[in-house]
Amino acid sequence: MTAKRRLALTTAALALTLTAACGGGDEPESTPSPQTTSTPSATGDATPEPAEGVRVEVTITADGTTPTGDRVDVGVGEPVTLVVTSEITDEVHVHSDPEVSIDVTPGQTVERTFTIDRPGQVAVESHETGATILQLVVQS
Amino acid sequence: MLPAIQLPAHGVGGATDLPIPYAYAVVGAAWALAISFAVLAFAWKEPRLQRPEPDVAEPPRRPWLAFVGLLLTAWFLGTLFLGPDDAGNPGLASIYILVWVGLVPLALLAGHVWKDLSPWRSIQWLVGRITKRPDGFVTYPERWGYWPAAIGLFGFVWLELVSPGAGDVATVRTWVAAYVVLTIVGGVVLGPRWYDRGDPFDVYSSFVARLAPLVERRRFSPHNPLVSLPHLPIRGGLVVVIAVLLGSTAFDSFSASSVWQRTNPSTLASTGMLVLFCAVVATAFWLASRATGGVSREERRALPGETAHTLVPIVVGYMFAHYLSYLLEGGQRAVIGLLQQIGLGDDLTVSYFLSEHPDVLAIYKVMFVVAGHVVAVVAAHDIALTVLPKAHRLTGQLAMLVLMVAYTFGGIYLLFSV
Amino acid sequence: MDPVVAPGHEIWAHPVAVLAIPAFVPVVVVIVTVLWVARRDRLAEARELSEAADTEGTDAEVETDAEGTDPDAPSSDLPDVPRRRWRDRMPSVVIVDERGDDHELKPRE
Repeated sequence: MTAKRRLALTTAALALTLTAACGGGDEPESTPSPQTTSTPSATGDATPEPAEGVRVEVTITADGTTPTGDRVDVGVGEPVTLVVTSEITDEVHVHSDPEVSIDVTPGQTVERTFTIDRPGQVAVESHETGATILQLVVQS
Repeated sequence: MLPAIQLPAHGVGGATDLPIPYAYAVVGAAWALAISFAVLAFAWKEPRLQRPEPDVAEPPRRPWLAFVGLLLTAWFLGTLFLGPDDAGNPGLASIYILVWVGLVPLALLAGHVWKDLSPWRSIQWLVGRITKRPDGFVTYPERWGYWPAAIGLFGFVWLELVSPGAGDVATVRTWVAAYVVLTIVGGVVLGPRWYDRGDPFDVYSSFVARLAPLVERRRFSPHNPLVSLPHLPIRGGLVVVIAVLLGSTAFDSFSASSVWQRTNPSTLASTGMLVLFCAVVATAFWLASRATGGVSREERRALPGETAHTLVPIVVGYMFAHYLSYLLEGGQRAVIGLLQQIGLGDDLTVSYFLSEHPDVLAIYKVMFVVAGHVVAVVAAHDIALTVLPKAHRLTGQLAMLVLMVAYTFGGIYLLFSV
Repeated sequence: MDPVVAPGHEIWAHPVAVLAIPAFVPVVVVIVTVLWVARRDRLAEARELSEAADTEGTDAEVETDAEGTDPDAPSSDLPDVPRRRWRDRMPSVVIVDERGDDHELKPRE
């Protein structure tokens, strides 16, 4: 179930990023490291995933963020990539330990990849709008 | 380097506890409670825990503990006000974790040692000596009861759970400064009674300390904590104090749900929801405790206060269940951060045992909730045998049973589903 | 883009009712049992009281006497009128107040 959903997410995000990539502004440093996705949660049919990790598109406007308050399943040590497009100057805070902070400026798309080392629930928040963009549900 | 102490909007640091499948926990806990009640109803027919409080004067505060309290306060507040101006300031974690959550295990282990430690009591004592007014200038109005403490507790949970500046050093500094001024002025004007009834942390600690098995009246004295629990003084606002503690814990769980976060609630909406949670807890208890036959109007009016102490074990259970990993792991970070402020502890690292073993954590959470509720059911049954007329001893408890099961159900549901 | 919502972590993933029904089953059992026992006790107590009130009567007379002598007393639980049984089961019916109500059950002067 989880694997399927993650697969769907990854492909959807990939398609979007491919179109978004033409707009430029992607940071090349964010290549997902080839890590072993030792996620027992991803049980069942061992469908080979086209790319490692989880990608989420985030859009920030003065009114709020898209998505807002969604849950996303992540494995421990699995690369998480946020692709943030913003209309305002903002900071996206990933409340993991250590914290990840992504600075965005109007009209720019910033991509950042990180991993979370411990199980738990990690909030991704927009500092300016105060919205909780995502809750990363991290499981080993 | 400072370890980064992350405090997201609701003040609970970093990765919160892992959600687990919880259907068994919810149903099992409800069953445990109903079965406990059934056993008590038919096996425990006379009050066993109600004994008059020993007529012993409260011992004086211990100077060495007062000194320790002053040192700790200087350290915490010094870190908060003189430390870094960003969210990495360990003073934040000291307040949110060591003071607010740490207060509960401290009171359980060492009784109401807060009274000895409280620097505000020490300052009041000193001012009282200088001005020759040890009991203040104005008598604490009886009708205030615990209301100032209830308001102060609400102010704190609002800061932690609702305020947009919960993780912001400047906001927390402002709150703490206001608290310190109010607490000192209140004590100097109204005397030590201000701390017994008005200081939110002091009152909270004194409630939890009724459950300390090893300490009674702040001295080592092993005893059955269920006997000391009913001695909780009944004053106005008692139910409200407990409702704020319980309601805010439930709100904290609820506010982490995506249902709530998707609405991107404003501060006003969050405040309203926090008030609603506390109000529902208080009203439900007030109604359930009064739902019995065979009592006069005055007796019925007294029932919520007479039975309110039975909620204290539930408060303790939820505090541990909700904040266990936060206390143990965030607490380590806070202590290391505090040590680094004075040039120590650079080689210390945080053990994340609980986060790495979420199954263990989950089991402890359920255990704390169920244990708190079962203790509460025992205490409630015993006080019901005392205050309810004989013909209504059992039927008069049924509404409370439904409420307790509903609390357990709702509590675990919220605790594990978000 | 529709980020995945992890199922099972959602607050409403399990409908409340689905959990509430099994959770509250023992509570309902306990409530029914307690009400039943309370009713039985009240009936027994009321019978004792009416026996004491009517020292000369037999069992059969007790019932009729109690009904006849004291219709205003809070004695609606007396087992003499079968048509009242449903009312007797209602928890709101306060039958015998423990404190000092027994004299009211005695025949009036």
